[in-house]
Parts: sequence; structure tokens; C-alpha cells
Amino acid sequence: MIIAIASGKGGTGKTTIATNLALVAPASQYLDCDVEEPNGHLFLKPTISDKRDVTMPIPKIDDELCTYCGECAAACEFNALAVIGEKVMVFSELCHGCGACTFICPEKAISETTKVIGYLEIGKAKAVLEDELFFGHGVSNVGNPLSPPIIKKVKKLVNDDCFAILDAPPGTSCPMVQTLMGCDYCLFVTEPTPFGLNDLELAVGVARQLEIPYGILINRSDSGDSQVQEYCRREAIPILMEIPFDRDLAFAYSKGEAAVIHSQSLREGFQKLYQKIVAEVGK
Amino acid sequence: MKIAISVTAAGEAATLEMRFGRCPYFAVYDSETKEYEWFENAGIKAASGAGTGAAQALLDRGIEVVVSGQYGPKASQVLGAANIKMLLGPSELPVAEVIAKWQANELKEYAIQKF
Repeated sequence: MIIAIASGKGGTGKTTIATNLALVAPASQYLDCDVEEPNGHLFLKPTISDKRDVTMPIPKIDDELCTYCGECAAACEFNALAVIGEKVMVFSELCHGCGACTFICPEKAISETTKVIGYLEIGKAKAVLEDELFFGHGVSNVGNPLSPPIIKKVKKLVNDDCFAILDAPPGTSCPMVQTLMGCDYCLFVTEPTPFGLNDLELAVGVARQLEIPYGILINRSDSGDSQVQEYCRREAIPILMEIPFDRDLAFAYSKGEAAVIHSQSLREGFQKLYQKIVAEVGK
Repeated sequence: MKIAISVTAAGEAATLEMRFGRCPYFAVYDSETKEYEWFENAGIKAASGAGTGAAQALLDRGIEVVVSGQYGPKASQVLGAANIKMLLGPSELPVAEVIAKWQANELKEYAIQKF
């Protein structure tokens, strides 16, 4: 089973929920898909056993064969190629690695080389109810503008026999969509504020478009207003859990400590959340 | 000689648009025939690489001089490699006045910046 923890608005508590759920769910995998700034490792403190580069293909021009016809530049959706007289410029930071230029070149003058855009780290973290859990995350290199290829590689670590938790990036653009695609369920973590609601509605739109079942978790539920609750009632969206603000938990969080280790009631709360998600997926 | 100007719209009432890659139109003036031609910049709708795309479109039309308000790092690399002269003009200046300033040698040349 694959579930995504997403939000729309940033800073609502995706990683808090994803890591705590991973710590108590049986046979869980925690996979951080927020590759632009992964932070789940700060709370799970995994032992990393494997590190792999993530690469993407970029075009390489053979000047012996190239006739500078310009078909590659015309075919490129992303304007990553420019043909200037007898010179082809490749802007690798614009390239999406789609291979259209290699395919279209009538002289077969384009081959593909690889460019390292980030890396994966894989390991184990200590769990609360079981011995350990599987940990994996992707890290995008500084300056790399394209995170979906790294997210795709993180998702390849999913083990179908496990309860795989994907910690999604915020927002509703390509990286978030790439994370949600193919998931069995999506839990949206929101805060009861106008900002939280605005971005939640956008995120719900993505889940609907992808036809993924979804539910809501309201974090810091005793703050803000009641508009998120009203929205969920109106749209018949299940609220799986509400977590009120707790200063002790915020303090533990600031030191990188998980809530389920500190609070018995939250440990039970997250176990119930796991059961509710499994029940929702079974519907 | 053909000179291209990034402009806000098609037609002689158009004024200089400050953005190169994301300008709505280019005005092309032929100094021999003294005639204008206008073409829509595909870059305005491009998801990425608007500057390189616009620069390529100018190269394909045989332009030798460009006037705009600012040039991005990639667009200026392409134009620079093609030895196209990049000039800077003031915002909201009507096309005919841009041409007059160019002919009077009053436009400053853009210095390629290293990023």
C-alpha cells in the first residue's frame, strides 16, 4: 500500500505526520519525496547503508556528423538547444531529458550523455513498535531545477508488501503531482487558517484529477477558524485526525524528537490513524 | 541590415518592451527598404527557455542588431555567440524613436554578464 502525505500549503506538518506514522505503522517505509529540502531524516535519524547518484540524459552533439539544420532546436519543447551558424549550444539546465532531439536528428549526430542531478540515500531507522523501518530519501543537487526525475527514483524504492509513506513536497506543481501519481491514498495535512484552506482546495483538486482517494488531518486544530471543518463537511471529505497545538511537542520537535516517543496519547492516535487509512483504502 | 526590437504589440504604435525573452512581439526594421515587419514571440508562452527560443527565432530571420530593455543570461549567451549586437533602450519609447536613436548611435550596448 502506498500513501502520500501532502498539503498544498507548506509548513502544515507533513513531515511530522509522515515520520510519526512511519514510526508506529507495521512494516512501514518512509520515503522523503521532498527532494528540494528533505528533512524526515532529522526526526528518524536513520543509519544510511547505500548512496546512489541520480542522473538524467542530456544531448551530446557530434560535430563531425552535424549539418546545423536546426531540427533539434525546433523540436525542443524547452528551448534547451540553440543552433548558431556552425555551432550547437546545449543548455543542460533547461533540458528535461525527453530525448526528442536525439530522436528527430536526421544525421544521427546526437547521442545521450548523463548528468548527475542529485542522489538517493537508503537505510534503516529505529521504529517505536517494531525493531526498524525502511528509510529512503532523494536529495536534489543545489542548482538543479528539475526534481521529478529524482522523485521517480525515490518511488522505485517502494516495496509492495510494505506500508509505504511518501512525504510529498508542498504546493501543487510537478513535484507534488509526481509524488501523488499511482498512490492508493493521500492524506492532506492542513491548518485551520484561510491560507491552509486555500491551498488545501487546490491540493484536493489534484487528488480528484488523479482519482486518488483522500482524507484530511487538521494540525494545530485549536487555532485559526472553523472554515476547514466546514469545507470538509460541505464536500463530504473525511477528517481522519485532529491534533491540537501542544507546546511540549513543539519543544520536542525543535530538538528533532518524534511526538510518538513523547506522548502515549499521540502514539495511540497515530496507530488509530494508520487503521483509519487502511480502512479508507479498503472502501 | 535588419534590426529587431522587443515591443509591446504589433503595429507602429508599439513601444519598447523591457523584457527580451518574454516580450509579446518583435518589430523587425530593414534599414535598406525602411520597412517594418512584426512577429509574435513564441517565447511568451514557453514553459522554459523563453530567452534561448527568442534568440533562435531572431537568428533564423537574419537579424544583426537587437534592442531591448534587458537580456537574460542564456539569451545573451546565444546572441553573443552569434555576434549579434545587443543594445539597451528606454521603456515605453515608440518604435520609430528607437530606430531614430539607433541611427543616431545613442543606444548603449549591453555588456554580457557572467553568472
